[in-house]
This record gives sequence, C-alpha cells and structure tokens, in this order.
Amino acid sequence: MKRRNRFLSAIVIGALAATLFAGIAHAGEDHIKVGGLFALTGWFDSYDVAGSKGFELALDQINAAGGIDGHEVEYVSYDTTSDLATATSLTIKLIEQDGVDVLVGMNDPNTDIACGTIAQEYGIPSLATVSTLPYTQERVGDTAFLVPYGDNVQASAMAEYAYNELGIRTVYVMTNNTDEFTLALSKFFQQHFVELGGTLLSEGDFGAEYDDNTNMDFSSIVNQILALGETPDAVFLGCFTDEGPIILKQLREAGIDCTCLSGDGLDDLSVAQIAGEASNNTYFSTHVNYADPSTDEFIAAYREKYNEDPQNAFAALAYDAAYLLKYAVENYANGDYSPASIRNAIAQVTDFEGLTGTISYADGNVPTKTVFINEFKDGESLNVTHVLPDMDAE
Amino acid sequence: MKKSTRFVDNSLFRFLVVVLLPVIILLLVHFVAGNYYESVFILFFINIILAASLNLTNGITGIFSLGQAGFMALGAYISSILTLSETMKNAMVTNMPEWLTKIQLPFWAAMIVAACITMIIAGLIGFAILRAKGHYLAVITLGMVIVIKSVLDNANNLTNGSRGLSGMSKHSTLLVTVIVALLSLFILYRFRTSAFGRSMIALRDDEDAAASLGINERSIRLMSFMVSAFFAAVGGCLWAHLQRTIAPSLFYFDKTFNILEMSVLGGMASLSGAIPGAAVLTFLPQFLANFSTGFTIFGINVPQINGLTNIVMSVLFIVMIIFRKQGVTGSSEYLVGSLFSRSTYTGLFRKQTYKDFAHAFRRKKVHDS
Repeated sequence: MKRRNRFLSAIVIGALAATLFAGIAHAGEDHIKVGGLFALTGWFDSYDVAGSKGFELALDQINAAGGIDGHEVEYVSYDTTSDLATATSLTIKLIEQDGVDVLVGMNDPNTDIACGTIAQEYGIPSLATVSTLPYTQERVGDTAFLVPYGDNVQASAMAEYAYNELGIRTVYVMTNNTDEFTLALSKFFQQHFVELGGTLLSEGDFGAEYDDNTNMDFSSIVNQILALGETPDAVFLGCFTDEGPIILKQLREAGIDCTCLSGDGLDDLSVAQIAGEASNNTYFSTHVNYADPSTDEFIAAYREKYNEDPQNAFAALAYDAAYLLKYAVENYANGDYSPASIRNAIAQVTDFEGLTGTISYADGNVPTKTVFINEFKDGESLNVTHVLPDMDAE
Repeated sequence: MKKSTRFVDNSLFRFLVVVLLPVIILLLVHFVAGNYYESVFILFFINIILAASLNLTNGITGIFSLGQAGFMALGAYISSILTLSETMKNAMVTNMPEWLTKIQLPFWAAMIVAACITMIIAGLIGFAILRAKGHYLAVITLGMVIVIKSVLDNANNLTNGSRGLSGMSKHSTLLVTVIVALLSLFILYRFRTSAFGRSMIALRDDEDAAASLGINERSIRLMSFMVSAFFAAVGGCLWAHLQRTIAPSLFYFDKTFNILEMSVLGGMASLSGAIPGAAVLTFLPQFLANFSTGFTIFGINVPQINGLTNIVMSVLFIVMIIFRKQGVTGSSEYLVGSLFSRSTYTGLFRKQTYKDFAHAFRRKKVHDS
C-alpha cells in the first residue's frame, strides 16, 4: 500500500510539473490569435454573455469564409467571473502563455483599465466591447480601443433627442453613484441638456449594488421628485439593467408617469419584461437597431447558432469587433501580424461600416458614431430614431 | 529509541518540505515559468497574509469578524494615494487637498503608514463594537464593510469616488510579496505564541475562566482586532500595487467572503491554515478557467460550462464542512511552526537528525514488505 502511495504521488508531482511547463508562449506565428476576456458568470454577465456569443459567431463566419487574409483566426477565451483579480491574471495568461496578438471583451470600465494597462505594457491592442468610458485612452494608453461610442456621445444624443424631438424642457436626474459609467452618463446628459436650454430641476443619488439586490427601495428618490411641486417633463435614469425596471415600477406606482430617459445601461429585453407596463414611455440610447434590415443576416445567424434572439446591443458590438479586426488587418497591416502592427492597423481604421454604425479612430481611440434611440413599448424594445450628435460643440 | 522517529518530527524532513521545496518552486516560477505563474503566486502570497490576519481574530481570539475587506480597502486606498505621483493625482482626482497631492512616499513607507492608519481606525471602531459578541459582532463588522465602502464611494476629493484610482506602479513583485508574507506570518506567529496569544486562545475557549485568571478581556480582544486590521491593510496595499486599479466595489461582500472561505477551508484556528486555504482559493479558479470554456478529453467534447468554478468551489466547501469542519490544518501550527522554529535549521547540523531520518525511512520500508 505504502509503495503504491509513493508511486501515485510521483505521478501527481510529475503531472503538475508537466502542466507548469506545458504552456509557455509561442508567439510569432503567421496567423492572428485573439484572446477573449468576457465575464460569463458574476454580476457583469448580463452584458457579456451576449457579447461573447456575438464574437464567437463572427469568428465562425470569418473562419468559414477563409479567415483574415486567408489565415484562420485562432481564438482563446476565459471566463473572468466578473472578478478584477481573476481578469488581470488571465490577461497575463492570454498574452504570455497563449501568445495572443489582440484582446477583446474587457468587461466593465474598471476591468478594462486594469487589464488594458497590462496589455499596454506588452504592446498588445485591446478592443473593449462594453465599456463606454470616454477617457479610456488617457487612463490606459494608445493600445486601448473602444468599439462602442463614449458616454459623452450617447448622453449628448439623448439630450438632443429629448429637447428637440420630445419637447422636454425640465428634467430630474437620478444617478447610481457606485459606478463610473452611470456617473459619467448623468454628468454628460445634464451638461448637454442645460447647454441646449433645458432646466435641471434637481438631482438625486442612490447606491444600488449590482451584487446586492436587496437594496432596491427607491422611495426616497421618488419622494424627492414628488416634493418638487411640479412633475418634471422627464426623469433621467443613470442606472443599470438590474435596478432599472424596479425604479420604473416605483416611479409609476407613485403616479410619476412622465417620460423616462436613460443610456445603454438600460438596454436589455429583461427590463421591459420585468417592469411590464411601467416601462412604457421610456427612451434609452443604444448601439444598434435590430429592426433595420442590415441586421437581419446577423439575427438569423445568431438565432441559428444559439436558438435565441440577441438580448441586447452588446452581441452586435462584439460581432462588429471581430469584423473590425478583419477590416483593419486586411487593409492596413500589410501582412504583418505582430501586435504592434495590428495596433497601428486598428488606429488607421476609417469608415468601417458595422452593424452598430460607422467606426473611425482618426480622432482618438473612442469612436464618435451614430446613437440609436429605442423605446420600450409593451414588453418590446423598438427603435424610434438615430442621432449623430455634433461633438465639436464640446 | 526514546526520540520520535516519525518523519514529520524530523528536522531534515521539515526543512525539505517547508523550506527547500517552496524555495525550489519559487525559483522555478520566477526564472522558468513566466509572468503568468508569477502573478498567480503573488496573489497567493497576498491571500496568505489576508487569511492569516483573519485567522487571528476569527479562529484564535474568537471574534468572528467579517470586516476584513473594509480594512483591506483602507490599506489599498491610503497606500495608493501615498505612492501616486502629484501629476497622476491631479489628473484623476478633482479638488484633492493640496498638501495631500504633494505627498509622495516610497512604497515601503506608504505600506507601513497605510497599515498604521488602518490599525488606528480599527482601534477606534473596535473600541465601540467589540462589546458585542458572536453573531452580533459578525453583523456589525459586515455593516462596517458597507460603511467603509460608502465613505470611499462618496469622498470624491480623496478617493475619486466609485471611479476608483489607477496608475499605481507595480511594486508587488514576487520577491517583495514573499518577504512581506514571511514577515507577516513571522510576526503573527510570534504574537500567537506570546503571552498575548495564549490569552487570546484562553479567551476563545472560556471567557469567564480566562477573566478569573486576570486576563483583561477587552484589551486583548481590541489588540487582536487591531493587529488583524494592520495585516489586512498590508495585504490590501500589496493587492492594490499588483492590480494597479482599485475601486470601492472591489472591496465588498465578495472580497470579505472570499477571504473568509480561505480561512475556513484552510483551518481557522491556526495561522498555518491560511496557507492551504489561500492555495485552494487562488490556484483552483485559475486552473478551472481552462475548462470552463469547453475542452476535449479522450476524444469526448465537453461543452462550455459557465460557472464551473462556482460549482466546484461550492461542492468542495460543502464536503469540507461535512467531513472536516476544522479545515485542512485544524489547530495544528505544523507549517508555520516548522518554518519559524529554530530547531528546523539547527537540526540540520546534528548527525542524529540524519540517523533518525534514515531510520524512519528504513522503518517504513520494513513495514511495507
């Protein structure tokens, strides 16, 4: 018995040592290797699961059609579990062990900054598919690109639409003060709305957590709005999908049935399903119009592969990221697949036509592109218009 | 033979297992395996510090605290503000007091200052809350995590609010982390084996009996709470300078329970428990990440399993609680004790050690056949 134990432990130690040395990086091959950092579990999965699916779908299509420049694209991805520490070590793993040339996904703004900083040190370009932080480039460096527009763009677009089209003159702004994204969104909306000539009646903060669904009582905010004396033309919600429907319900129950406005944080079919009728008369900015015929092909392919409709715009954004990479490399990389060359190729992208609008990185790594405005109506998310805000005014 | 001839008591064996083997692994990790393994090992050593600091209160003194993430956050924030350069602070934080932007300390100084400030804050908090015991204390410390997070979220001109801070230099290298972890374990171990430590254990086992022997309950408990906060802050400081991005939401319930899991899994009642606990909670998620996106084994395709890590961890945890609820090490200080006891090293210079080692080895063989 004892001897066998020793034999077994020798095998175990041998196996451990083998795994330790097995995966040391082999970079410099003649095809592109993409590393995916998506949160498939944890609080961020409502955005990233769809994104991961969209990205894999696009890669399947690209490889079936002969790959990029005739070379098959290799894809390695890990679940970041919405945890920053896991995400950063996986970033190093993707770069060093798997030898990826470009990173995609990058989760929320904080994770994007942390992982993007590491990628920057290695000179590996990263394409963020969900983060909309406008000053990503200043915080990380020139290898960090966003596929979506920045929060300043979407908030301005929403302000213009609300003021010009919906005829809204007075707003109340409420903000989830626990996240970079919601704070930036509300700040830019206020700024632009007031510039246009609108009036900010008042504003309120709340601290709902993504991982803490118990704290979902927004009565203090509701009471603040009631105490204004007049009902504002609109309430702007700087919030996420988790608390969004609950806020809508509580507002409507208190008799505040004015227009509600929000950003792409509210973009999920689940919002309309949970809030039901309360979600009517709610407008939010998003990245794509799924009713447009140009997206039919994508939706059909998505449905065929996953047997469901894309839940939100992040599937289309990640899908665009894959084709953006193909476009950049085929047009600007001149057959050089080193990370530095890919970064320069992406930076040169002008007028890439994707599902989510036209992407150019001429004026920095955060594109200014068309903002789609959707409305919730009877449990569905319907596109009402699209706006290309005039950002030169800033 | 009067002397024990068991392998585990032999100095040579102890030296091989707790000193030589880890040193070889670390050298391999540093020189051969590459930055990924190095970053995971750095995280492992930081987790050891955090779990050991929690064991001091939860397992050894019997103050069941859930506040470790809060102290970790304080350590991370204070040290980051102190090490960031003036230009970085001005670029990120609006309206930071001018005297604070001007301060820039070296990493080691920032770590010690951050840990001391956190210890003082823990002293103030502990003075108020340590009257409570058991579940009540656990809930209060959990509340403390919420309070600390809310303060960090809203003190915009100090912490940049929920946007967090980024751009710290990478000071937490493997060497630095190993040195700090060894120092922390050494100090905690000496603390535990001192008269204070024995008082703590006495208090945990029977408060009234301990009090009757003249042990000042309140001061001992407060001291334990403060020392624990000190090392949690050290861990937080290292963590911040490893990840280089911090935000209040990163030091919340998830983090607190993560540290608690390490502590419970490894063995709450000993500092040694921090080592197996941190090992499982650090290496297992990294290892399982390879499989969660689907893999092929013996020609069979296993599809993508979302949340594989969560499933495996929770099953492991349940099995552990049912079959070995004292954790891997229980209250045995074998690992840390061997590492820091002089006999492990002096024993190497005695002939008897080698004779015993050979004898123990032979005896095993005899038993085998």
